[in-house]
Amino acid sequence: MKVDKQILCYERGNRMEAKIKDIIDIVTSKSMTTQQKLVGLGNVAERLISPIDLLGYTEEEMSYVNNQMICDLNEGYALYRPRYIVPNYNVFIEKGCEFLELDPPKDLDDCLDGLLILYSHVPSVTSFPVFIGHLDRLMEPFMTDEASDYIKIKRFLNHIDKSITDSFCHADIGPYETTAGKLILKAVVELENPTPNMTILYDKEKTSRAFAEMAATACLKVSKPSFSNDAYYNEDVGSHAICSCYNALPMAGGAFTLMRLRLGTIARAAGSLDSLLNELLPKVSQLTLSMMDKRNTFIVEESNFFESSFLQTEGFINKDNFTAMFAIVGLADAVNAILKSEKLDETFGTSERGDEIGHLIMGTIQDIVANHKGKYVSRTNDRYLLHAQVGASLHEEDDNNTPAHRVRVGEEPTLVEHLKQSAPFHQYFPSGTGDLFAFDQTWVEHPDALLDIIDGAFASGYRYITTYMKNTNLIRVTGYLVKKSEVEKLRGNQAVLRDTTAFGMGTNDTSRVFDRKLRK
Amino acid sequence: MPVHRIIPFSNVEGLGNRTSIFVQGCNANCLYCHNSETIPMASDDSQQYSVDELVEVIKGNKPFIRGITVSGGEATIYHKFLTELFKKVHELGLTCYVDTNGFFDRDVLNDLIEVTDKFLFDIKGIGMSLETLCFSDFLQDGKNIVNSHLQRFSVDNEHFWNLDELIKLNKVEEIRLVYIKGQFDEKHIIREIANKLKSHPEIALKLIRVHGRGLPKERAFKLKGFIPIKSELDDLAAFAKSEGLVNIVMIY
Repeated sequence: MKVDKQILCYERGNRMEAKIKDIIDIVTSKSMTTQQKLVGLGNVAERLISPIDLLGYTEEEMSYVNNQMICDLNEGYALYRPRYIVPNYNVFIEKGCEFLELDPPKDLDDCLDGLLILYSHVPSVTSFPVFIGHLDRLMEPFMTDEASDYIKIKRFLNHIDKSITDSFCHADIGPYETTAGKLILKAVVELENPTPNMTILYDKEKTSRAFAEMAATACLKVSKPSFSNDAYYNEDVGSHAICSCYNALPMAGGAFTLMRLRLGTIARAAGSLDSLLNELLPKVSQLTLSMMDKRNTFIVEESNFFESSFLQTEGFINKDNFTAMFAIVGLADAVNAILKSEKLDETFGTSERGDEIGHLIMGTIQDIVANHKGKYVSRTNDRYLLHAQVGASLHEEDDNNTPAHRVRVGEEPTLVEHLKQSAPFHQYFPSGTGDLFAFDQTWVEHPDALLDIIDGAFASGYRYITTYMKNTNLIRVTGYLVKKSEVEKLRGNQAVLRDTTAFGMGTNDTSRVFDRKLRK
Repeated sequence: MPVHRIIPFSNVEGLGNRTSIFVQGCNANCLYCHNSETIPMASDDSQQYSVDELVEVIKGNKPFIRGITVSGGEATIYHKFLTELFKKVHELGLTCYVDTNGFFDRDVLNDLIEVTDKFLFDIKGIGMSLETLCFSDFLQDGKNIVNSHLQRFSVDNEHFWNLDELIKLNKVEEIRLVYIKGQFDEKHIIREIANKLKSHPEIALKLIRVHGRGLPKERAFKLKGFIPIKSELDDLAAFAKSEGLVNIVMIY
């Protein structure tokens, strides 16, 4: 193994821990809003403290974070809240909120106003809520007059876009057709806002064809809602919500943490399939699991989050409903590295051997994760859930790690082959994965045909699928939406409303996601 | 059967997402044909498929499609092959559509009609104008062209009778008319269609404005002066509506 040598190559300066200089950089930034600076400063503070001292990471564990094989997404070390929180907002509908002195809503105005108030008290790793409710179910009991209800719903959704300035904020609709659901779809198409991200929990047996086609049309026009295979996720996760990018997490709970393996980086260091499967991958996975244990333990035992949050005391969440996410990124790059080591001139996506290698890698990880008894995750049978992470641009190694198990942009097969190639990989990821496809204008007139493809994808094992139209301003980067016009603004070093715009810019620079193959 | 091209996913050849199979070979030679490379009975760009080979291709697309549509060229030329193919495709739980110009002999086609779920019926014209528009040997040696077309289609309008028959059998999903000016009496055609659809208002009429884009130069040249402007298509649609047609789709 070449690993140890590689670890030595990394200077202390590359560590994930923050430095005082980071504070000055944030304070004097020209392209961050005041709010973004505040959140940034908080994140730096969390990373000023050594995880070896605070969380009990070993030197070896930290060395694999520092050599970029394991990435903690700068989640921080002085942890004071779970990464993802999925409140059960029905509690508010039924009982109101004592801490916020809110009565149960009596009409749509009470409902929407109360939800907006609640959102500002739901934390997450971004400090913004990553789940804002099964919106149609919350609103439906208060529907009275479509015309005036529509105005309120549209205003509510626009308020969210301008005040929750982070498009990891996610709303769910479906599976059943409702008046509220239809008004929400109409409003998101008219608003063309990146936030909230949105999913329709879709189940052919429950969702009407008309409602599903309306959602499919919206998905082409404004890149949302995405389609989630509701029956599949119910089987794996039980009562859940789709939040953040496309994470399926337990209702009234969430996930303490997410750590991800950069498989491309790991495979290149391993040099051969044998070394990867039998030495490096087990090693790196065990270290990751151990760090996750320590993170969960600190949040539950030390941070006093659950003791201080009204969300816990009033039943919006329960600490026994949390899980943690073991994520991967860069499967394509890992497979390509191994194909190269086997002297094969093929790439992941169009290579039979490549798929074989991909399944060997995922099968190995799946076994390791299934055999580890996690900390404080009784809700998911004491196990951490595998997740196909959508990528980020935190380090130059992210250029070498394609999102999740996706095929590298530019190496995609035809649509039908692509669907068939990717479907079997969805099985590994109970806490979320998804693929996305760019379609041309003709499909907007034929949502029935698009829905046939979605039905086919789900029948083939897909958990989640997104479509969008090429050449719209609103574009899905990997799991969240950005406005292309905002990216251009940020490139010009101007401050923009949403923090996710910066991620979008970084990801497009590294993976050319604005140039995904167009499906005709 | 010679196949010019297979499109795995198509959203414009009938209901839902369908695999479209374009056969090589046509029994007409329409001036405005946008697939004129499929007109000759043989071509270096086409490939022979057996029934089983095609079934394998379709099987591969199966979970994502509702069915197949055979277009061309003129699919009905290969009616025996298609009858066999459709029987096997039905076993996969998929529907089978045929895109046709209606220039076929009904008596010979009974078996195919029986196993075809729906036809997309392209009305090419009416009366003597068909001779120059669809049955000329312009750019072709003319040997494919349907036998005794002058009597059967330009005089007897047999294709309208064929359409009638298919409507009665509830086998038509859409009727198409490519609107080209000064070649045929389009209002006459619309009146005929409206008459036939009185008891089948669900069947769509697709009005398509002919255009010269993407045509070989020699063909585009022949269309000069015959291309309607958009408002003329609107006018024709308004006329169709006034004749009682309800399900009208316009393609500009």
